[in-house]
Amino acid sequence: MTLVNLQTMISSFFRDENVRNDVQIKQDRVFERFCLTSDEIKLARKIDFLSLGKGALNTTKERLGKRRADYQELFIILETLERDDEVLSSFVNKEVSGTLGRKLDSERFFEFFKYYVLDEDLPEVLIEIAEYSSIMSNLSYANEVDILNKESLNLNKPIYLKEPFELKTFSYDLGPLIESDFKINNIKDLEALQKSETKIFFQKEYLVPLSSKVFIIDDLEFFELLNQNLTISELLGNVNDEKRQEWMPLLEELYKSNVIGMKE
Amino acid sequence: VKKLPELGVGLLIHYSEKYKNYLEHVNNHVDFYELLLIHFSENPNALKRVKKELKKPLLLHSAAASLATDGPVNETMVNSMKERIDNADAPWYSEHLCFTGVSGLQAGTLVLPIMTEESLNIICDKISILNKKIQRPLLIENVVNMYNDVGDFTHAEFINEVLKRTDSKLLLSVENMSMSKRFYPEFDHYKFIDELETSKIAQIHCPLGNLEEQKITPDSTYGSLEKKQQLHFDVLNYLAKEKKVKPNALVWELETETNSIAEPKDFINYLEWSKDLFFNKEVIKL
Repeated sequence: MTLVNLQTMISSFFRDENVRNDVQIKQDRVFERFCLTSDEIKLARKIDFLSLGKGALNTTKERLGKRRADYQELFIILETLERDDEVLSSFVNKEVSGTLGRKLDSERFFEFFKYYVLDEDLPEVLIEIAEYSSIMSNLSYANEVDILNKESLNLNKPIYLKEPFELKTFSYDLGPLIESDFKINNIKDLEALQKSETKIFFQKEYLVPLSSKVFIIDDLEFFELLNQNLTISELLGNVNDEKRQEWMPLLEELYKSNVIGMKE
Repeated sequence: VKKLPELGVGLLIHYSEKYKNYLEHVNNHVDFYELLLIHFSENPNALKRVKKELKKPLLLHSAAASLATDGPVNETMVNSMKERIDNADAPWYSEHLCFTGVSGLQAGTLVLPIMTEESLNIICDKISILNKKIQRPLLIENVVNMYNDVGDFTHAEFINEVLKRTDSKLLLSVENMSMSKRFYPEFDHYKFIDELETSKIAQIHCPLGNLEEQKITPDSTYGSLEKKQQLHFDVLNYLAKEKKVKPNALVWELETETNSIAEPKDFINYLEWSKDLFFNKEVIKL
């Protein structure tokens, strides 16, 4: 005897609203569609689908809660636009198969959302906001590949940016997202946003579990020098006095907050 | 079965900043911590650091193995579980008695198995593979009855049979019993416990919400969350006094149905109460 067809049907029942509806009105056709054996059909007929339906709705709610958490910045805006529930409901109705690991379902949501924006003719800045959220949450969950800085900063040891990190150029100014200061009240506010290239540095946060940090890069020269295997003496030796005075406390702060590490 | 150590009363913590702050208040009272394997699936090495930071024994709780799925064991997943369990040096780990889907299609939750002889064989074979690969004791946890018992056994009989055939111990989840009543109103906590082989209970999971919020939060199944919480305390009392259950560990879970987690002082009160209740001290009345 096998159970795999019955398990497939139950799994699908949890994921797919159409299966849930069909089980109520044309049960035999659902059993046929999932190729249930006669033994499986006997078992399936004993299932209380009303109870299972409550479970399925609860499960869907939990899944959507996780995607809201992954795309926190995006959903703050979608809630303002009163589009959040529609986006999520459209997502679950479309994505009814496959596995549901966090990373996979999160990537699946991003792919879905790109087409949703295009199909619904929504401002494309929403795709960039989704990408911003996606990078933030992926880095939060990413593996820590470094250790916390313990010794004091030595000017004669090479410094580097701690992995994992990502530098991303956006075509809109997403700076206000970082400050939670995006003043969006309606779709017109989004449409009115002008393109303005912004470089954003995302990095795994080493001091706080399951989180990431983000900086706008407005001095690319400084940022690039951080990852060239230079000592701080070498890095500051190449710049004028004004920059030296500006950069030294900044380097100390970056070291203290574990954005940069120090090689032996 | 290898004899499990007696760990006492612990706390299930989510790997997040919220808990880091919480532990500063409660750490002195907690005997050990339990962590969710899923929080380290992309970051297994972090467990070594967390173990050093917490300076207490760690248990690990899994929801990934899908023991009842009619299909082969995912070896990559088992190896990844082993890496994380070894990193934490957990004296044992736990997994749910359920299926989470089939190859290529996940239900998104922990589904009660269809309870037939065939299903038992599938589960026992998978547990045997996990035991060989992971080489640490595995506890089996009861899941939510999201539907009625279907097959040749009741839920409790099915659990007993798995424990007997695999020589495993039980992690009894009080919250999963309570959630069962939400979906399947015929479910009865005490009937379920009475059917269980309670001498096999090695660990208990019990939720503790924010007590103030529970007072003002209505609940369609229990009347209020306060009443649901009281039922949990009553169930613990029943297990300790009527069923004489002697677990190796009791774990409080703070992520329950209130927006805020329990106040540290309330948590400490109930933690001490449960230590006395299950670990051979004079019972404190709350």
